[in-house]
Parts: sequence; structure tokens; C-alpha cells
Amino acid sequence: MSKQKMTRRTFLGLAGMGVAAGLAACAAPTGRPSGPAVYEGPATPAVPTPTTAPQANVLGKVLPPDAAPLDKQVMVVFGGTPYTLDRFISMYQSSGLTSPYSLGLVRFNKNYDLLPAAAESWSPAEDGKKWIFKLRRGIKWSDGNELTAHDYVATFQLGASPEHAWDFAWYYLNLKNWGEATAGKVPVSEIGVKALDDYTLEFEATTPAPYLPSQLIWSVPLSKAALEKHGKFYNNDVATSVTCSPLKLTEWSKDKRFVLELNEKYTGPAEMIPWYTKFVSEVPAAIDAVTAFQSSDVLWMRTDATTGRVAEADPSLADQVYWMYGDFRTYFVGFNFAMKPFDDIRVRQALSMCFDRAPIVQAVAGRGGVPAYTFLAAGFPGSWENSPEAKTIQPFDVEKAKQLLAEAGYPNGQGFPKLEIPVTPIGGQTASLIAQGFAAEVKNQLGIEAEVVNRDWRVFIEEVRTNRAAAVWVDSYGMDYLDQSNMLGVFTSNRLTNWNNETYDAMFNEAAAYAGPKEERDAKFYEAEKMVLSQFVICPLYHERIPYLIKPQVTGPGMEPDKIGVRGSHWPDDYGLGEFWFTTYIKNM
Amino acid sequence: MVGYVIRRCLALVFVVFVISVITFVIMYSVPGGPFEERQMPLQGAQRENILRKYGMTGSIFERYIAYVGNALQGDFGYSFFSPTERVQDLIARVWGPTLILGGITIAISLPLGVWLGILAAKHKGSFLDLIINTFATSMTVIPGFVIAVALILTFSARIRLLPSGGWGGPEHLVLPVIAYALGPTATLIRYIRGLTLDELGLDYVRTARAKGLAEHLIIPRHVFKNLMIPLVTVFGPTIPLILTGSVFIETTFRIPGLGQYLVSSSVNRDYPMVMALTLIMAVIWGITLLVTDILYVKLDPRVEL
Repeated sequence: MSKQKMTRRTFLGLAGMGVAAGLAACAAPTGRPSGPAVYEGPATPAVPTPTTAPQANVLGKVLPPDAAPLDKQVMVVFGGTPYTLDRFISMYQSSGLTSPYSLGLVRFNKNYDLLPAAAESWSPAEDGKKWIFKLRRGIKWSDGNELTAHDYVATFQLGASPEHAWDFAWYYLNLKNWGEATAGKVPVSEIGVKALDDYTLEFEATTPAPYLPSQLIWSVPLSKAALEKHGKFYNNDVATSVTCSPLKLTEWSKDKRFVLELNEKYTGPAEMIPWYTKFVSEVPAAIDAVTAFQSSDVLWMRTDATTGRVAEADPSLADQVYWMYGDFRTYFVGFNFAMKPFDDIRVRQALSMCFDRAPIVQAVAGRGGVPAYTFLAAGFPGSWENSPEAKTIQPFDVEKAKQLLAEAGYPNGQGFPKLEIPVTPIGGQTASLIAQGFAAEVKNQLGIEAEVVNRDWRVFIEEVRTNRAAAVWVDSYGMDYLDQSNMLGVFTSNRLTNWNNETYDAMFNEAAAYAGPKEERDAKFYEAEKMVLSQFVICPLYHERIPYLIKPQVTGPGMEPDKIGVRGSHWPDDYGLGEFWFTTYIKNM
Repeated sequence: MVGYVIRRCLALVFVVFVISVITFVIMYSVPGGPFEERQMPLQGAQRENILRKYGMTGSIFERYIAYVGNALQGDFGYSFFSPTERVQDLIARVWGPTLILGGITIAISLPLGVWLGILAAKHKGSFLDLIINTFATSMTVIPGFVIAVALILTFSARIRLLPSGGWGGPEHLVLPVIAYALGPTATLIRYIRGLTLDELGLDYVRTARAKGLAEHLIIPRHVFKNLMIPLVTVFGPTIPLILTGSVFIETTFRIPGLGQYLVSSSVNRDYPMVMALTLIMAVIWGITLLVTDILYVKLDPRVEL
């Protein structure tokens, strides 16, 4: 290879180009074009104005020294404008930054410790069937009324009302008389939610429910007075909206944005006061929303794994991608126990053991997925995913798989019916590709013809879960509340699968109701989960990780790693006024 | 003419009726319902409550009769996914941005496409013709959403001159209108150029030239009239499409318009919205075709209805 000597002129020329490029690069972050700008985005990076004195917002929360000025403490997110922000009006259609108008009884921090919100304390009674919640006193709604137990009772009664037809009504079926009330058999006043006095709430479940405090993460109440005065949609209008949270509604433009600003009348827990002065939820772009993020029109957005990986590969975005647990969702292959030959455990074993998860998940999902050997992902209470035992129950063992298939009467897959595997569309491209990896292994290793078919979400639900018409499928489940009784409850009879096993039901019910030490309860759930896996009810594929894009100017304790090193917003921050939102701020850049 | 218009209007009513029946039957025949949730399938009383709340009980015939009865009284029901407003109110709210965007797009693309097409034809084989042709071909083959994303990356992400999306001031219109107008403009350029070249070779143009008519007057005085009928044929059907919105443009630029509902309503099984939007589309298409036919008569007296 010849070496070319660099002349002085060449050097200066290159140096000049380098300086020009450097200046251009330095100029870029200011967002100032050379020509006259006619538009300044709502959330351009904060102008670096040094703060000389501590700044406090209207609720008295003092901003850190490196914080941008108060008027720049505006968090803009892609949260959409669902028709309601009240979870008791609709759980599934109120996606986005929801429940901003009131305080649930409890909340989580980023380490998933259950903390009080509107509740001051809680304790079980009557063998754990009843739970008594004491409310903090002095929390006021913005209309001047006090937040009391009667607000919670009115809200839960609305949730149980047949006329209201709450789409999340199934969630509280464990409460006394809840099912009967939703069926119209008893009045809603009979449900197991009572106000013992203005500041004491009693919840009564049908069985002991040590998980009930965690389940009450979805207990964000409506104002009883506002409900009676304006009806259940009172929060859809700035004029009638009532809040007891640190935020209040100041703009509601359907299909455009909603805006929340600090509620100067807030009297709740001081630790829940945000540094932000304003939250703006914009309707996300359905196509290439990342361009809006790159334009700094939003500071925080959730995206899909494919987009997350593309963003990670982009040097200008790589350090703004955060992979989060999401709702601890696990994707799995399900088997139809009512269809032959899947009622034969050897067949389920063969299909599960021919799949080498780790390389396929790693290649397809990258950081967007973790190979799953158990149903409960690492980080979820009671998870034993990272234990050495996890990989031994459904190991990758092709020879054993072939042998089991032959014993079941299908040597080399001969005579085995062709598999059409519907895949859940909510996993996007990642789930589809991993499902195809599974199908390829089944075909290549076992000689069984297998094809993945992508289904519309609603068609998938009807085919797989309602009609049980698929033989093998790829589905997923993510938590509704942080307890094994939620995630493992899906394997009880006639729920997510049609593996109807009385032994498992009994094991699960015993574990769910066990009010003894946590270690003992975890051990009972461990046995239940192990039974699901060793019976090959499902073949776990991967635990999902959700990518979030967060601008570098968003900082604060909420962006510090949690106890296992994961940074960024945590479930259920997508949905509520979670810790992330009142522990981050916008810093000067 | 009046009799013809009345007959066409009556036929349109019949067509709308047939379309409503077909849509209703197809809608309820597609697997999956609007309330199949991703966590737990609704069961038992919870399912019954929701179906009753949204009027989805009874036979399909009973539901259709109830729907038509309400619709004839101006009540198209509530959207399943925005149940705080009636369908007609929702459509009225979101159609505004679509009409504004579509109207400006038509106002720009129609004259621009015609002008550039004629310009290219007049200068056939020149560098200008090459530029216009290249532009028109490129804009025809590049999908609108690719252009939209390129515009956002350039003008929003890089030089921050314009917002990446949203709806409010005039600045929110610039990029979507450009992205939206390029396609129809390009189509018109290519069509008008070809037509103009054909016309310029005909005897009446040669005669006009022989009679000493100035070159710059030949096209506006003689050729343009003959371009109008094919122009109406090509551009007429584009108008309903533009006025009912582009799902790509509206979702890319976060415009709160009708276009996005055309897709989301079907995907979400939002039956009242699907019905209303289908009927609106049918009426707009019917009216457009009727107006197009009337224009034929006005533009060419030889045409009889």
C-alpha cells in the first residue's frame, strides 16, 4: 500500500472542512436555521439560561440547580387524546397519560415497592378477605370538596353498574358481589366496597386476597359530587373537570392534544408534586412518529421494538433509547388441549424442546426481548427465570424431541397434521418473526409442516381465545397488577388456555389466598408455575422489552437506574401519574 | 336536463340503500367484534352489558331496521370508540381539517398541474420539458408517505423551519399540503402534457397558425377548450378522494381529520362510524359523477344525457 504524503495545502483544506463541519454540528442542536424561522416547536431544547437562584413552582417544589427555567418545564409526550382519561370510564380506551385527575389508594415506585398515595395505611381483617384502608385527611378536590371514602365507593359502584358496562369489570370479579352486581342480580350498593366513615374504606373479597393492595393500583376515583352534578364524562370539559391530583385540565382538543398544568389547589402528598409545570399529550403520528421526536416536538414517546432497534443504530438517537419491562409481557406458544394430538404431552414436549430460544430471540429482538424459560419474567415478584433450574424444564434437546414425537406415533413428523400458527398482532414484527423461527424449527427439526399466519387482533382473539379454533398459536400476556395471582391466574380453567386442571386450580387458589410470609407464598406459586411448564401447557418464547425514546434534557431521580439497573419510566407510568413524572425535570442544555 | 338530474338523484338514493345493506351485512359477518380486548376476552354479564349498551343485541335484521330508523331521523348513533359524541358530530368535527387540507391541495395541484403540463408540451424536448417530466415521473412513483417523511426530516428535524405535525396555524399546513399535492399535480402534468401534444398536432391548430394567430394565444383560445373534457374525466374522481382525506398524510402529520377514521373505524370494528363513512363516500361519489356528467354537456354540446 502506497503512502501519500499530505501537503500543507491539503491539510489546511481538510482542517477547514473539519472546522466547518464542526461548526455545523455545533449549530445543529440550537435548531436555528440560517434563514428566518417562522416556527418554534413547543418543546425545542431548553435555551441555556443559567439559573441564579432556586426556583420553586406554584406548589412550592424547588427545582434542582441545573433545571431549565420554570416556563421550560413542559413535558410533551405522544399520549394521544383518548375519549376519556378516567380509568373507571374505560380502561382499554383511555390509553395515554391517564388518571391525571385524582389519586389512587396506592402507587408504585420504580423498584415496584407499593407505596401509599391517597391512602395513609392499610391492613387486612377477617383472614385476609377484608382490607381496611385509611385515607389521608385534607386532600381536596378542586371544587372545594374533600376526597373521602364516599368518592371511592361511588366510583367502584359505577364500575359494577350494568348500565355503565365498564370494559374492565372483570378485573374486580374477586370482590364480594361484584359479579352479581354486574349481572344485575344485586344492587351495586351490595358490592364489597364500603365506606366505614369518611376516611375509612373497607374492601371485601370472596376469598382471602393478600394481593388486594397491589390490585388497587387501579383505584383512581372519580368525584362523587361531580358525577352527580355533571355525569360521568365531567372530566372531558375544562369547565366541569374536577381534580385532586397535582394536575388540572386546561385544554382538551379531541384528536389534537390535551394539556394539564399544575393544580395550585393541590393538597395531597407533597412527594407526588412534579417539577414540570405543564404536561402536553399530543396525538402520535401513526407513521414514523420518530421524526417528531427528532424534531423535538415531543420529549418522551413509547415505540415498538423494530423502531427501537432502528433508533439504536442511529448515532444521533442511540443514547436516547431506553428498554423497559413494559407490563412484564411474556410471549408463548399455546396448545389446544381439546384438539388431537396436542392432548398428548409428548407432542407438546417435542414441539417445545425443538426450539432453541436464545439465538433466535437475540437475533430477532435484540434488546427488545429476553429468551423465556418461565412465564414470570425476571424482575416480577416470585420470578425464578434467572435460576439454573429454569432452563432444565423445557430444555433445547432435538434428539429427545424427535424421540418423543416418534413415541407419540409421528416418527419424523410423518402423519402429523399441518400446523397453521396464528400469531398475536400486538407483538408486531418481533413476535411474528420469532413465531416464524419457532415454525421453522418445528419443520426443520421435527419434519412437521408449520406456517405462521398473521391475524388482525380481533380475529385472533375470537379464533384463539373465544372459539378455541386454533391448534397451536403464539399469544402473550402482561400484568394488570404486580402479583403472581394476576399473571399465573391466566392458567386456571377456561381462561387464557383450555388446559382445565383442577389440581392446578387448587394450587393456584391456595397460593393466591395465602396470607403467610412472602417466601412461603412465593414457594406455592413456584410450584404452580412449575406445573404449567412441566405439563407443557405453554412453550415460553420471550419476555418483551419496550423501547422508549426520551430526550437527553429529561433528567432527575426518575432517570436513575432502579435496583436492577433499568433506567427510564416504569409501568404504569404510561398510564398514570407515576413516579417517573414527578421525579424528572428538564435540565438546561 | 332537470329530469335527468332528478332521475340520477333517485338512483343515488337506491344505490345508497343497497350499499347500506351490503355494508351492514359484511360488517357483522367479519370475524372479531369491537369489544374483544387484548387481555381477557369479555365474558358473561360483562359482555352482555357492553353489547346491550351499544345496541348490538337482537338479530342482524332487527339491528339494521333500528339503524335505518334512527338514521332517517338524523341519528347515526355513537361511535364505539368515542362514545361521548354522536357519529354525525364526530364527522362534522373531523371533516373540517380534511376539507381545508383537501381544498387547498385541489386549489394548488389543479392549476399547477395544468400549467406545468402545457408548459412541458409547449417546450417539448427542451431542458425545461426534461425537468418537468422528471419531476412528474418521480412524484408519481414515490409514495406520498415517503415524501411526507422526507419533508419532516428536512424541514422539521434538520432545519426546524416548520412543525413536524399537528393542527392549528398556517405553518401546520405547509408540509402536508406539499406532500398531498405532489401526487395529483404530477398525474395532471403527465396527462395534460400528452393531451396537449396530441392537440397541437391537429388540423385546427395548424389552421390557427396559418391564419396568423400568435403562438401564445393558440393554447388558451383553442387547445384549452379541448383539454377540458379529459381533464374533468381524470381529475373529477380525484376530488372525492381528496375531500375524504388521506390516511397517510393525516396520520403522518397528525392532522385531526376524517382520513384516519376511514381506516381506524374498520380496524376497530366501529360499526356506526363504518356505516356513516361508507354512506358519505357513496353520496360524494354519486354527486361527483353526476356533476362530471353535467360538465360534459356544458363543455361539449355534442354530448347528450
